Amino acid sequence: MSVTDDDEAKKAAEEEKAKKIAAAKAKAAAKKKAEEKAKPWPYPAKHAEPERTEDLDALREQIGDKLLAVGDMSGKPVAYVAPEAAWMALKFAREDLEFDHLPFVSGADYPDEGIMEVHWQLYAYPRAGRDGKDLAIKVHAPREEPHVPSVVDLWTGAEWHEREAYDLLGIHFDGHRNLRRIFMPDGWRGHPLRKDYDRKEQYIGMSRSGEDVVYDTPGPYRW
Amino acid sequence: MALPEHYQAAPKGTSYQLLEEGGQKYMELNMGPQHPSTHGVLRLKLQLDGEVVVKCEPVLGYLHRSKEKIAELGQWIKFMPITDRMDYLTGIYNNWAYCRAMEEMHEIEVPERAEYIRVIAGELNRLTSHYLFLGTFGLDLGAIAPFFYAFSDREKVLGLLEELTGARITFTFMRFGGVKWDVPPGWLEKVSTLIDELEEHHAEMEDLLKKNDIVNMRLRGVGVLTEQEAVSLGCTGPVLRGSGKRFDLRKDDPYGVYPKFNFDIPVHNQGDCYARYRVRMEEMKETYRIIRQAIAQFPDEGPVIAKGFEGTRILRIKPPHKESYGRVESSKGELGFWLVSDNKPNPYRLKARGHSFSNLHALPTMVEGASIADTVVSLGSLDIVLGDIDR
Repeated sequence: MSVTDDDEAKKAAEEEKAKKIAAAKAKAAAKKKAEEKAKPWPYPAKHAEPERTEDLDALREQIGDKLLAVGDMSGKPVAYVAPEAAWMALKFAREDLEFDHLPFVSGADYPDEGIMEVHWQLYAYPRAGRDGKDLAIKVHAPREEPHVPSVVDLWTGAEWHEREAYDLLGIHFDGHRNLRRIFMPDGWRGHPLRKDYDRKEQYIGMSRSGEDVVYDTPGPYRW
Repeated sequence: MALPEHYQAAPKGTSYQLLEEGGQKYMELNMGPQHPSTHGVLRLKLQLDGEVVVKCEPVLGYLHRSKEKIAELGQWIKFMPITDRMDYLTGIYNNWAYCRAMEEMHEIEVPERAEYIRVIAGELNRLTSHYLFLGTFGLDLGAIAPFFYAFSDREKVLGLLEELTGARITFTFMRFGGVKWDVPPGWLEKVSTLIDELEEHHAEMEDLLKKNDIVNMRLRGVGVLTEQEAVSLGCTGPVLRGSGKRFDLRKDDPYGVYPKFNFDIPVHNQGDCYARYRVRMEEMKETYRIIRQAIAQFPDEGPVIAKGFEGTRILRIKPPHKESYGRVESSKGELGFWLVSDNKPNPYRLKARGHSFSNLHALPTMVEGASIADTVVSLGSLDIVLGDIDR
């Protein structure tokens, strides 16, 4: 046997070993990815059981199986409602369950699941005989054109919150008579808080990387 | 000039057209983003019929800094300095709201000494905010003396806060699970002495505006907001308590060591500017009580941050796959944070619920039908901060 044969044999053995290691690594990676995928999402709040269930039970009586899931948001009960029952659920919460304070209406974008989650945070002021109580109502709308009912008739303050959610996330509130942008300039294109928002490289001549930009290059800002 | 085609205001037109609506002619006045009385970059589109405001539309966004988007880029704790700059007059409460939301989500136990430091720093910040309100509200009315009195006392409080935190506005003092560092030696005695001094001045400062006939005529019955309107609009804080609703997060949704203190909630029923002004003045008196009790109950020793969150360990926290909504009673209302975490070092979604955003929504209700001079007074009585509205 010559030296080259030895080398070749050694090289072949090393290659085999390297292939085995790579295969093992790929298998581990694939397993991890499968685990990640198998994690039950998109309900981060679903896993814990809510502490106070009176409001959730009453809501379930009202809308039946349109109450898709319940959960716990760090001590505050959450109700996941189907989009078609959103108006009924919110009206019920406002009028029958006495949730008269609306801290905010907002949303969260989940592009991997193709869902735009719209979130109403409610609070009932304390009255004689009971303490204040919290409730959050969430609706999962399709991400491309999310349409949910507007609650300006229930809570006047929702007008600006819904405008903000429309401006930053693109959620359309049906029945809002004045749905237009509130923070971004009027001609802005795109909804900034979406995960796939294209953070443009330049804005009226100012470049993110610091180079000089010519003024008449089209940017995201057009009157 | 780069203006949109539909822009109708004076700079572009050669003849200024009166707005015609329903057969009536109104003048459109822009109380523009740069204005000494709008408390920030707020634009009010007013339609006037002579001196009477027919329609008032606030236009926002001049201070929008896309903080909620920025939050998604860095780690959880790196957002803390950015919270300071939202309601830049009460940086402590912004920090605290964010901390409360994170502590509820991550289930962090805050040590008692840290809670007391939080309360004292927070209440001192409430004092500075109300002093600023007193000063600027006086200026809105045309009274200059309250400004100097209020700011002179405010400087003393800010000096103490600077000694504690190192900054006058952007404190960045709180961390998840506690505060940045312990109180300097002798600081508590200084606070105690200062509170005695401020309480002596308080009556004099109140009288500057309270006893003035012109102020009374300009404030009483102006900018009325009924309780139902205030609740429906989402107004909180002194705006809500000036309209008769007795609600304060420190009492009704208590956090930290607030249950251990004895204090009242001032409430006035009239819902006008005078009521809101009185609520804030009386809140300051309650603040002196709270601070005194906090100093008396202050624990002698103890950690100031929860275990596992000291130093740089806080950079690497990965909160569990949960959400939370944590809120505190800031000097101007309910300041809350909605956090969504997906077990990563970066926030997935972070929403700041601003008190001034909802409070400002009450302005058209208060102002439409009243004279334009009352617009400035009503806006001043709301005590808004644009950093919190636009974020």
